Amino acid sequence: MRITSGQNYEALMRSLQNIRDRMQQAQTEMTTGDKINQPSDDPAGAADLVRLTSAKSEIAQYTSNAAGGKDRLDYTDTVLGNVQTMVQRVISLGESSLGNLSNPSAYTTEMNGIRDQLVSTANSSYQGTYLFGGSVQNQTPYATQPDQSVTYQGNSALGVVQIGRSSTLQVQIPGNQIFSGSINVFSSVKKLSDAITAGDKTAIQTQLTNLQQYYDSVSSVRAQVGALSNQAQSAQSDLQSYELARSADQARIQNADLAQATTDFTQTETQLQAAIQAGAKISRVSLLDYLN
Amino acid sequence: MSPVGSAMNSALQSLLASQLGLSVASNNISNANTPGYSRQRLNVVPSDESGVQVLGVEALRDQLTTSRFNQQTSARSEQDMLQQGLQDIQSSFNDTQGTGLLSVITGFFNSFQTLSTNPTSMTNRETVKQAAVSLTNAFHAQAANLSSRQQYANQAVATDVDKINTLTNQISNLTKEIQTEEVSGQPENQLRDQRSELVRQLSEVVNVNELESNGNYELTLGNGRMLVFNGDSQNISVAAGANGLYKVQAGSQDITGEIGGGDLHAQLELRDQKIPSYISQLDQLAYEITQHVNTIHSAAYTLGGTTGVNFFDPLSSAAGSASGIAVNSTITSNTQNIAASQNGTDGDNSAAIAIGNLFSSPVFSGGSVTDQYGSLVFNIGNDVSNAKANFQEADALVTQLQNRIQSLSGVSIDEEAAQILQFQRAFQASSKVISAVDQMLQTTLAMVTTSA
Repeated sequence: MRITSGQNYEALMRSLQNIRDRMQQAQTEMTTGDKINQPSDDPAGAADLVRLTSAKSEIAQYTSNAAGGKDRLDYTDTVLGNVQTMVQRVISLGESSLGNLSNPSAYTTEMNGIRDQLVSTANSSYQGTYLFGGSVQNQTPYATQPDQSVTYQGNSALGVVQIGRSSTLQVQIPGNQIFSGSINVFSSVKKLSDAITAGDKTAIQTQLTNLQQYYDSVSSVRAQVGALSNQAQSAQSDLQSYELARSADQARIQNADLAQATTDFTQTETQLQAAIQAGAKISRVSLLDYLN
Repeated sequence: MSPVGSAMNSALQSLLASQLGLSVASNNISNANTPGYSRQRLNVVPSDESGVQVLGVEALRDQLTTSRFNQQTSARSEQDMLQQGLQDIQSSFNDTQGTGLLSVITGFFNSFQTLSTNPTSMTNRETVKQAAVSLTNAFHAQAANLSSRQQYANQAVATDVDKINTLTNQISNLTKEIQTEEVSGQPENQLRDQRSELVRQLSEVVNVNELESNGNYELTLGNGRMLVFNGDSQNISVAAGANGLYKVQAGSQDITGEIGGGDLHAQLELRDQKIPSYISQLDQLAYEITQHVNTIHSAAYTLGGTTGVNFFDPLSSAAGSASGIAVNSTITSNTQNIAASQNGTDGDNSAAIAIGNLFSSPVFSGGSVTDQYGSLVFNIGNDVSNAKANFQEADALVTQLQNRIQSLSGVSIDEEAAQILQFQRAFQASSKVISAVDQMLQTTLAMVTTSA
């Protein structure tokens, strides 16, 4: 084949261009640390990255839901602990009154105060929402009526949050399962206080038994809350391990092999030098140099 | 003729031929780097009587390879333009580098999950509103970006048509000149080289065929529509079509479909195929998000207990949804109108959970919303990557053909240097012959003088 000066030049330019192209690719990988810097670098990989990124943000949202739910459950547990303390105090006041029925107000005053405290505890809110009203939020869960009775204004909804694609976490227990279930704590305390005032020992005993049962029922609700809190805890650590797995997938698709990129870069650099030197040599050798 | 006279004559012819040879070599060297130049060669034969006869100066070119080269030039230029145009588009769908819709789609559905953790919180409601506004803004921006790319390609169609007309006019003028000059029988090498270069430039814009037979020169579009016939050229034009985009016309006939190859075809493909396909995928996504969210939202209850409120303004069809998607103004003006409850109580979060869960549910036509968006990213990336591969293939072919053309038609400085040497020596030798003949004649004349 006849080789002309133009061909030499063209071939030189082309190989320089090719080498610089590969150098740039290696350089981009080295500086960004990413193998996929635009979708066309690996279209299927880019689509996978879209899915992984969205899966990660979904997991992050579930984790945050679970963490928020756990905080709410833990707070519920604290509140229920307070309820038990108050009920315990009512019981011990009732027991003491049995030996000293001559001065009922020594017991009933404190007892009525505790009853008001119980109502306000049942109306506790957490981050602006009532803890025990079910899904009713536009009024307090419990309202004291003119006749001193306390009525439930909430519903039986169990509040849930999403902590996985198909798993939810119950984060609230409605008041009618705690304060006004089979035993209504407010009316029990009222009846006990009335019985003390009336000096009716039998009625006092009945209400003391009721309140002791009530105390135990709150314990079992607390056990349920604790179990839910554990569920939230273990969901968080599951989600964390999912997230790690997704991150690993992401890294596998996205991360450049730095050793490879560096080697590629060095190799292309050497090629570039060789091509430039060869080009310089070729254009220096001409028949014209040997004619005079 | 006497032997002496004949020697003198053939030496003279040789002197002239050598000078001509030198001038051809000199012309070759001066055009060594001229694009489209074909090297020339002095054609000589032994004269009938004695000496050398100059037949003419021939340019070395291979018409068949040149026309294949032009075809591939069209293909390369088309893929190059496609690749560039698609690269521009893909840069706005580069989610791994922080552009694209993924983060706003994720943010939107996650905001409903956040709302579900406390459906009465005004902060959470504000978060939902902001996320929804970001989502619609992002859709609008992408749609506007794509349609401006489409307009840009449309403008390029008009520019390309202008270029074609300029080039075909120049080609027809050159053809007229060539045909006038070549009446003498000698090929007009320089003008033919110029025309060849113009046809190559034209091939970058659109695929054309060149045909020269029986003294007629034709330049046609790929399918045979005449652009140049001898000294006449047929101009083409653009006119706004029904969709507001230019159609290419010959006279009043729409010839948009006849355009093949080159920059022009790449612009048409971007404008009429690629970009509309991305827009419609984006529209479909915006439409389905609107539909699915509205279905749940309008059946749910707002914080005030109202039901039947749409979250997004309803869209009648997918077309135009990406630019039309908008949050219902009832919601932007008062976030209490975001419906999170399915039973009408304020604290119920079932609707918020249901909307949040749309994110991962496979209710969209492409699977989940992320799958559907992912396939749009895949399609764009794949188109760029294909155009890149096609470009490299066409480029390799162009290089190969160019090498073949260069090998035949390119100027080799070494070769020309040898030629110069050769003609220089021939000139010196012929001069010697002339001076020898001259001495012989002088000797003869001296003899005559002496005898007289």
